[in-house]
Amino acid sequence: MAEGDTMRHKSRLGLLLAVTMYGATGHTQQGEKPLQREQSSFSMEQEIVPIEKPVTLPGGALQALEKDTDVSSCMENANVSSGQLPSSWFVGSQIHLEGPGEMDLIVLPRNLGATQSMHPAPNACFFGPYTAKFWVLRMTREGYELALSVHTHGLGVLKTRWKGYRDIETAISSLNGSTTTLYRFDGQHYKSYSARSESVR
Amino acid sequence: MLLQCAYVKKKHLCATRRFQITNSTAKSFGFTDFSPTGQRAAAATMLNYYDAVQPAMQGDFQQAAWNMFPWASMPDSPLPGNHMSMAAAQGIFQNALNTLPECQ
Repeated sequence: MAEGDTMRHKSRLGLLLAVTMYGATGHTQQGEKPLQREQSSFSMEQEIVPIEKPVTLPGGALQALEKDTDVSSCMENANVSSGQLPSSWFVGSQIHLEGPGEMDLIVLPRNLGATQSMHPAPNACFFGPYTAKFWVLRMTREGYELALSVHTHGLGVLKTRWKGYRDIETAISSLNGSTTTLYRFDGQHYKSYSARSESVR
Repeated sequence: MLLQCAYVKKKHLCATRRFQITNSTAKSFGFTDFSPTGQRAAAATMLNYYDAVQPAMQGDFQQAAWNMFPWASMPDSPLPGNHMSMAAAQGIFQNALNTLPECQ
C-alpha cells in the first residue's frame, strides 16, 4: 500500500475513533444531581476501548436479545435452543439513557476467541471484518426491551436528547470513507435520524 | 507485521491492509497469520462463513455479493456508507477470473 494511501487510511481511522470517543464522559442533566461517571463510548475493538465496568447480562436482557433476528439466527447456526442463549456470548455496560431512575444496557458481543486457528468462536456471527453487533437495551416496567440493534464499529451515547432519551451516534469506516449515523428515540426504539459520510477518494 | 494501525488519543486502532479485518475479528475467527497469504486465507474463511463462496462457484454472483454485506462497500450492503454498484462488483470479479493465475 502506498504511503499516501496509508496516511489517508490513518486519517479515516482517526475520524472514526474521534467519533467513537465523542462524549466520552458521563453526563449531568439540568437540575439533576450529577450521576456517577459512566462509560458512553464503545468500540468493537474492545482491546482498544475496553468495557470499563463489564456486567453479566441478566436473564431478562437475554430474553430481549433473543428477539433480535441476528441473535436468533446465530443461535440456530450454533445449535443453541430457544431460552438457552449463553450470557457468556455478551458483555454489557450499564448506562442511563433517560434519567437516574432506570438502568439501561449497552451490549456488545464478548470476544471469546476462536477455539483453534481458523475455527470461529460460537458467537463469531456477531463480528464482521471491521464491525460487530451492538445492542441497546432499555429498561421498562415490563423488563428489558431491545431499543437498537446495529452493526457498527463504534457507538457513542451523546449528551443531546430526543423525547427524553439520549441520542446515540455510530461510526463505521470502509474503503470508500467514513459514515456517522445519528439515532434518536421515537418513544419505543432508536431510529436512524441522519447520516453523514466523508469520502476519502 | 502487516497490521495497519493509527495512533489516536493514545489509542491504537488497527486493521489489516487487504480486507480491513480488525484484531478483534481476527481473534474471534482464529486468524493468526497476517502474511499476504494468511490474509487471503482469512478472507476466504470469512467468505465461506458468510456463505458467499458457494453462490459464486455456482455462477450466482449477485447472491455472493449480497452475502458479503459485512464489507460495507459491497452492493446493497445494509451497513451505512458508499456501496459499489452490482455491475462494478461483477466487473471486478470477472476481471479477477480472467487475470489471476490461480483462476486460470
